[in-house]
Amino acid sequence: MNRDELKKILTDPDFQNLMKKVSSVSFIFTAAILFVYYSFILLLAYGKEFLGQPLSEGSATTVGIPIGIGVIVLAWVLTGLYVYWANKNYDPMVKQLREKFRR
Amino acid sequence: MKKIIYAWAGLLTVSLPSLAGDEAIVGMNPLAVTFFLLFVVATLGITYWAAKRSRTATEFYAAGRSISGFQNGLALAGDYMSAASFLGIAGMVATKGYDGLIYSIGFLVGWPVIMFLIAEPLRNLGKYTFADVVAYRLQLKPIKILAALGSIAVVILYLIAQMVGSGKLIQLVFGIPYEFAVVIIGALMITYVLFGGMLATTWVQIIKAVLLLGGATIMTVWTLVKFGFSPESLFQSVKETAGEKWLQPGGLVSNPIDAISLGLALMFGTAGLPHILMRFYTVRDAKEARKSVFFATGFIGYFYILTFVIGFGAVVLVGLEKITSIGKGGNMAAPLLAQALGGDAFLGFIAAVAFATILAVVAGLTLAGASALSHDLYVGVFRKVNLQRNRKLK
Repeated sequence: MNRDELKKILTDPDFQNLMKKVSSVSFIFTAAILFVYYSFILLLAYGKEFLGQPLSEGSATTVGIPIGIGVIVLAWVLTGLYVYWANKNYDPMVKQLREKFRR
Repeated sequence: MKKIIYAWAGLLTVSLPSLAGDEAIVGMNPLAVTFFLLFVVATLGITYWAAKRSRTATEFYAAGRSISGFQNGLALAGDYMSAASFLGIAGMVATKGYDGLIYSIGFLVGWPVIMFLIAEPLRNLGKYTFADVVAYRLQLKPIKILAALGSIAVVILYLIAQMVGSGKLIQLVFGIPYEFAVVIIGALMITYVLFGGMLATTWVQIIKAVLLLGGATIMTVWTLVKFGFSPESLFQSVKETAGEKWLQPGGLVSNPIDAISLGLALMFGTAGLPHILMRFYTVRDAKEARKSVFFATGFIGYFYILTFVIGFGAVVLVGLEKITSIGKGGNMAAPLLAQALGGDAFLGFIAAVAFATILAVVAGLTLAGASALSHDLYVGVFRKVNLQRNRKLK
């Protein structure tokens, strides 16, 4: 691939659009998981009493147990959503671009 | 990031040698020996099969990109679920209570972050090692040296801890001297890597992941049966035997700074392990790579929830006194629970699974180390083979 061809691709609006979309989606997902995780860590650091109280009157299960397991499940769900998005939207867009520049 | 990787490797080596200090809990256990031998024979068979198929560099380092997403997910999960997670986290939950869960969560959350930020760009370049990828953008030689040395430092530190653990385990089950046991493990893993490459280590990893997930599931269900399938009644028993504190945070991290620093180290540390990053290259395309991370996250999350139950099960069914008398860090909590549940036969099975776990992780690590040495340092720096090609690409 020579310099002109490369420049043509890099300045192509479709390509730029795709790049923008990809980076904003991965930013949103990263922000979401970091928010969930650090909320948990901060709760651990400053909200011990909250996490340590019983889930309901007299139960041994504490509030922290479902929350902790919830963070694990949420991390998995977020990964799943991203994979679904990327496989459904990202790959076809890349394919389209490829075909556009093949001509 | 390098610094964090070092810190992480340090953390593992500090926490793992406690495994070596454990007293014998079993003498010669014939059933465990049988399981060991079965595993070794099966994996050597795979290595032989893989050796016949590995002819090119892509086949050796990236298994010919022939692994499916589901299989790669299992292998990724296998790389992640080391003995430190199985024995260590169950032990930590048993001896420290709720705070053991913090480790699981921190380990797991690294996953989505790898996926969202680095998996895609890494995968797109279609290379074998982390150093290859960084060298694409920056000056080749210094970066290759730096990245390769980083990988090797991590691998060596991590390897030592795993070797000590496995040597100790073999010593316990076979009743042979420790030094001898370490030599056997070393010889086995060199065989896997040297002859089988990535294809063999991937399949070894898949078998081990299935064994580990199966073993942990059986243990958890068995434990829950004793409590009428009610987690609440399990927690109630924990409260009665160990105290309310076990179900509340604070056992391990006592101040906010500790919690935040541990949270950072756990998450970013796991995101950079070299033998994990290598697995993004073993599948056909980006779609399969993404799917494999989804499966892996599911398996690992499920596994960590199991270790949580196993740890608390051990508190009630084995008793804290016995767990801490056998190993200070509580590393033998899971095997002891197996013994309490199903006697020596189940203990033998779980010990063999733990052994398979260590062996598989060691093989994966050795391969990552070998790639850093031969592919990055020897070929990339000393012989400068890649230099011409890279210059063209710039």
